[in-house]
Amino acid sequence: MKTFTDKMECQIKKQIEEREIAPSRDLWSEIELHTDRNTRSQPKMNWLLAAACLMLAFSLGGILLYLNQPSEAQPKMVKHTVKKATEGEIVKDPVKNTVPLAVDNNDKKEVKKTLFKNKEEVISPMAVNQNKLIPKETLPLKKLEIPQLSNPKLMAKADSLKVPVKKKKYVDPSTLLFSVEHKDVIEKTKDGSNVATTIDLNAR
Amino acid sequence: MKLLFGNKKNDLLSLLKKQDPAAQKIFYEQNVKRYLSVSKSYISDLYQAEDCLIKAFCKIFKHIESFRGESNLDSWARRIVVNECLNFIKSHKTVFYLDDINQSFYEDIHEPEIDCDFNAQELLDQLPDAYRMVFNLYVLEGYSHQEIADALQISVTVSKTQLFRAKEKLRKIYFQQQKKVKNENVYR
Repeated sequence: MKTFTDKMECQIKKQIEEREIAPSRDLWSEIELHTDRNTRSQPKMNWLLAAACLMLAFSLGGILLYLNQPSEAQPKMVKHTVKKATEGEIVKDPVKNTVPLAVDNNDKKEVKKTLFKNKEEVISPMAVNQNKLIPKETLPLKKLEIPQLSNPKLMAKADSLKVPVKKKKYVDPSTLLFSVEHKDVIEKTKDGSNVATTIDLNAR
Repeated sequence: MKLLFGNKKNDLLSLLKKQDPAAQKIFYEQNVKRYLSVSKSYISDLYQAEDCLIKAFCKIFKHIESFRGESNLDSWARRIVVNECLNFIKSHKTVFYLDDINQSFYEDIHEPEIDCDFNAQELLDQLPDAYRMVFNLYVLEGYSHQEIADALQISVTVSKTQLFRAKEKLRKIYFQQQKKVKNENVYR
């Protein structure tokens, strides 16, 4: 048996299901407006996205190209090693060797020459982020024309640059013992006598 | 032209999926009045109910491709309308779900015969939002309490309580209306 509330529920449901309400305004035009906006905005957004991607790619490419180009603002350090001179060769005109061997489209580049043990290095200031030295091995090395020796002083200077290796003062224990044992004989020789003395090492 | 005769539902569906404006217009004209009735049963203000319906139709046309045909197109679209109404109520109004049940109120009422001439919309309009939502979902849409709980993000117990209280409130409103009508007739 249906209760009062059940009957009321059925009645409400029936009324709502059967009812039709006409809209008070033109809803279709508004729906059309919304749907048009949605459908049109989608391709427009795609175009904008594609254009933005292209712009980004071009700008990145430009930046990379700019960074890779050598410029005055970002000079490179160039390390160049001249072919090691053989012992037989004589550098007769060292002034000629100071000519910058690595010319990197930059005349203002500072060229520093160091001559140490027959090695010549051309060093120029380098960008902060580039820590390693770039050896310019690809540059063609001009064969040095060796003229006649005209300035021997310069040669002497060049030789004087060689730092002699200091030998350690080391006294052999047997020598030391010998000097102690034959002290008197050694002193005699120091006195100025040029007489050669024969020391019998086996005499004991 | 064949769409105008209305029986080619599959053709209409395929055209709707192609975003055909003519098919959309036909679908709108076929359903707008019924869907507005559904919307009005949740939202008492007609203008707001129409706004919800506009949004619902836009969603239907936009997401028609996701409709697989497992259920009826009409029930799928109706569900979108209902969800749009629920979203509107949630976003525009603060809904209170009260749990206290006044049992004495129910016991005092006797069981007279119901008069079929009452206006259902008038009764629903006088219900609080929480009661009306639960009542409509349960009675009109045939949702279970679990489905109502999921849709409104409440517990099943709260859903049951709200339904019980909604029915009681409807009875009370109904008897008040009947009493008023009787008094008017007496004075005449």
